[in-house]
Amino acid sequence: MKEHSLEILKILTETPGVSGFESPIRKVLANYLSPLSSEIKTDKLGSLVAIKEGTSVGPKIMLASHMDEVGFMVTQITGEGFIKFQALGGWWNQVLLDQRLEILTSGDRVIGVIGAKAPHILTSEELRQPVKMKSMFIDVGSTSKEETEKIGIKPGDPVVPYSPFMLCKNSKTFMAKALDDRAGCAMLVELFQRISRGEHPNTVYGVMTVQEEVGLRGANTSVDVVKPDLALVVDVTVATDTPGISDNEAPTKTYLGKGPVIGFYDASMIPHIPFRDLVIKTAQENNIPFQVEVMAGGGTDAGKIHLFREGVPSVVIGIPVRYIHDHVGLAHLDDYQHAVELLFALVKKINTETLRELEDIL
Amino acid sequence: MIQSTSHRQNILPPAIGSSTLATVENEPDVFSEQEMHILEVVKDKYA
Repeated sequence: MKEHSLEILKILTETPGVSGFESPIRKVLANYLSPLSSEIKTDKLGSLVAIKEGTSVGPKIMLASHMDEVGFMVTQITGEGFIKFQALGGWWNQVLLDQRLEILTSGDRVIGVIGAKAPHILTSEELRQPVKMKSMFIDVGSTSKEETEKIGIKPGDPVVPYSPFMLCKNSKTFMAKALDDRAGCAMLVELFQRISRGEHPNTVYGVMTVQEEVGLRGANTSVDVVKPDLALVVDVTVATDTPGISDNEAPTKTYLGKGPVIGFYDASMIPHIPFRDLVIKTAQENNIPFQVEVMAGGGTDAGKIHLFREGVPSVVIGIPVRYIHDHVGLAHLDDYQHAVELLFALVKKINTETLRELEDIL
Repeated sequence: MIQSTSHRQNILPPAIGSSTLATVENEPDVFSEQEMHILEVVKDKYA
């Protein structure tokens, strides 16, 4: 079971797919989900919708994770052959310098490194400031614009971090790029593998959205394909168990290894309370450890999904990840596997009667 | 997870007008040799 999860996580995190350029990861996900689904389709922006019918047509449960990862796009090649870039998704300047990247040209993949002026030649004022992203460039080793163009690099090419998957020495924590949100996609793949072997009293829509990191855009369009009764958004969240994080910055601490996280608040949504409590009750009944989270910033696809038409009761379930939106994130296998168990328990439980009870909020 | 919904203007890329830009429609499908192998393995295993 552990090896199976690690294999899926490795494949999904190492496959490229920055926001707007998700084709490679979409193909891999479709290969996983096609044999496990009654039907598979995409919306017109590229979000993938895998449908698994159970013993009842309703309720329709949308389980959404986003397939895109934060990355970059080539915008310009300088006269000396260096590459200027545009961030796709949220990046912090300070995590970029000296990191290796892969540029996906229409031919080969080209590895480069993010460079900037060396500290030796900075002014004392510049030394006191973090380097701005617009001052950085990607260096692929060229000495002229012509050389870079000859390699096949052109404006518009997507760029992803170069960061192979790795299991840590404790055999439980793993590090990889793109855990936000390939970890969620992997959980949905494993959920589909489980529900394909048994019955569930509903219809499950596994939705892998595009362009979440640039404004929850794929959720906006794919929710219209599903028209769900309920939504569970499966995403990662910030682990706040690292040094220097105060109670003010993280009023509800989230730790690696202490269970999946149930969202109580973020900047995009307050969950549907009866549904949130059902998720908690289900975790308790099944002896699944969990953590709760209140986060002032950040948001997920649930921010769009819960506002669809007259509203969709929604809850976010995720796992804590250290250093999200970075070249390397760290997550814990126990959290991942417990999250899959929780999703499976919910899908086995939610039926028309559950939906009626959740909707009766008067 | 999107980084911040209160600073959306910093997250969204500005419109870049250039006829040389690739578009989503002609997005390259670049798979490494290793990923091509993985795709085949996944197909064999789950199809």
